[in-house]
Amino acid sequence: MAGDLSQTMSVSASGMEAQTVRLRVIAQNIANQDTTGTTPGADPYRRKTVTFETTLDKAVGADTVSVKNVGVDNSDLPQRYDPANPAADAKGYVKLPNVNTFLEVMDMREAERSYSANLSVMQATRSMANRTIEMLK
Amino acid sequence: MTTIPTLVVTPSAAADAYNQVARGSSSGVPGSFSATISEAIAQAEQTGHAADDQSMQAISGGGNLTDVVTALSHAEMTLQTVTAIRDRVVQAYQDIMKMPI
Amino acid sequence: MDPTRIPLFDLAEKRLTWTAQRQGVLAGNIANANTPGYRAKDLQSFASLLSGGGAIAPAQTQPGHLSGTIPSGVASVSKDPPQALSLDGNGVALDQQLTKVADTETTQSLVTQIWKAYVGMFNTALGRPS
Repeated sequence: MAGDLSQTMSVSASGMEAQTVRLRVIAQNIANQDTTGTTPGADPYRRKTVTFETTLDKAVGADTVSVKNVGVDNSDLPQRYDPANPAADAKGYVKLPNVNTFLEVMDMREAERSYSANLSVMQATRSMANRTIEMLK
Repeated sequence: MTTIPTLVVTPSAAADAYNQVARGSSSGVPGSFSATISEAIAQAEQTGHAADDQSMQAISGGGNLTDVVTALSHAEMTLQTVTAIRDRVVQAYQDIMKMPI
Repeated sequence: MDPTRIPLFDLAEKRLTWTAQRQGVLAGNIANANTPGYRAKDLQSFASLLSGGGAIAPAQTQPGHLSGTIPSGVASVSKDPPQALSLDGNGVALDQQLTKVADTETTQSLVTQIWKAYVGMFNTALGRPS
């Protein structure tokens, strides 16, 4: 029973953890937005995606979140005509990563927002716990 | 040679005087001490009830925040006043009882 | 009358339990703000909990069964009514949830302060230094 509020804090911690993973994947995507293959016709970097899932904690009635998996975005790869590139295929086209920088930056902003929301909740919960202890004073 | 006047107080007289004050029976003089005390106690009761009502409302989720805080402050101040008066009365009684006969 | 069971303190205790529980539910909502298919939850309101609508009520399967006369005191969790869902089916509006969190925190602060004020008044009346 030390629990009610500290269990709530672990829920927020799981949220922060999940958003951190999401940010890491976004950073990876942005860093590799120009990473093409090294041999002719090889695949370039493919955009990675993060999927979350809920785990119900019955004792609290609250749901923690975790990363279900880090997947790959299998949408079409854009192509560019560049015969001099080591990754150029027989027709001289190079496959490029399917990373849209604009979308990644938007995603990053959302991840930041979710992260700070979870942080606010954790701070609020901690204040509540402190105030409860102060009732004894 | 002047004689120093001595004050003669018997314990029974002191107890009687305290009883009078406690019962709130004043000598009929307006503004007497016992009347003041009775008034203070009644006020403490009143503000206490008001504060109780406001607090129960506030805890249940209704009520006006300002009203609750002012009601509670009034109750606290009145209670402290009454308690201070009570302490002084008790102290005065004990002082009287300590006087040599 | 048991002098240790003062109604105001009882009510304050119940309210504090309620706020702690609600904080847990709201934290779960915010943590799952990006989980596909997740719908926001909330605790039943304190007023409805006081009027006897707890989460556990005895089932009346026969006409002779008694209905619960003592409120269970455990608040029930229910899903929020469906609002705008995002593409992946997520139904959590961060702003709304954060407002509720602030509200819960304020309530808890008020109740603990009232509690402390009353304990202080008891100490004053009893002549103890508070």
